Amino acid sequence: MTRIYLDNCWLQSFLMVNKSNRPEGAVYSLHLCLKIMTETTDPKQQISKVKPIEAFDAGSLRNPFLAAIFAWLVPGLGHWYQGRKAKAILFFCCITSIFLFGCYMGSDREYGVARVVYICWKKGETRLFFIPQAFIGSAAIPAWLQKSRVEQGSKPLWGGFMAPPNTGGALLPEGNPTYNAMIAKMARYYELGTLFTVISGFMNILVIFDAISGPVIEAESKKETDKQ
Amino acid sequence: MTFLDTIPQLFFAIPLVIAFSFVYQGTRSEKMPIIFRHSLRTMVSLTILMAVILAFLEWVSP
Repeated sequence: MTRIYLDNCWLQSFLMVNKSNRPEGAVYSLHLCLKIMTETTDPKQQISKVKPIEAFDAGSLRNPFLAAIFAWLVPGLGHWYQGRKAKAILFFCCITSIFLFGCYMGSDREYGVARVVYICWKKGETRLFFIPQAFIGSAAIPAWLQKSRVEQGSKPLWGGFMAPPNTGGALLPEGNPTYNAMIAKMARYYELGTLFTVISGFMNILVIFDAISGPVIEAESKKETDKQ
Repeated sequence: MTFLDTIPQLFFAIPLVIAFSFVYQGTRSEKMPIIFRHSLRTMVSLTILMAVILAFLEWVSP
């Protein structure tokens, strides 16, 4: 008898919460239902305890395309443009601080600042880490300029800031280190600097998508409410 | 020897965990109190997950 009663409660609350057919929705519903079941045993109380999910109208976002470009240029700028200023400050502080800390760790007195953010597409020395790093936006733009300079054999600007190392055993430009020399000098900070800048780029991808379509759960919830 | 040399390598994960938790939860909600509350939960979950992985790696390493 108790079993049937419990099953009925679980089913009712599950059907009420699980409005979407998506797998993550079902997992979330299961989590909510289990939480309700542990708090009370009365079915009516259980259903009334289901908290409504925070609603958000993704259609109210101001020019999502332009906001995405702003969010790419400077983390949080897209949200500031849309009037979501608290989140803009939060994103800017979190992402920029991680990126700058990564750049600091990837710096060397002899070789220059932010040597972990650079572009190199040469075979065997391809820098795939630049792909996520590029999502940080304007902060990674100097790397494009430095790449073309170093490839032409010119000395990098700004003391080697975001300049690629000499590749393929090339001696030019003079004074620019090779990849092996940088690894040997910076040791673990080269890896840590790369990791921090890559993760900050990945985080900015999340922020760009948030600027385009709003927060994940709320947008889903609103869509389902509209259908009903 | 710089200041960074004195920090154990494991501690470099702390700023990453904090920043990632805020950004991840920031993309899942619009209200700041909810973001902060959920971020705290994410921080704890991530720390536990990483501790488990670290313990496993310690266990399998010779």
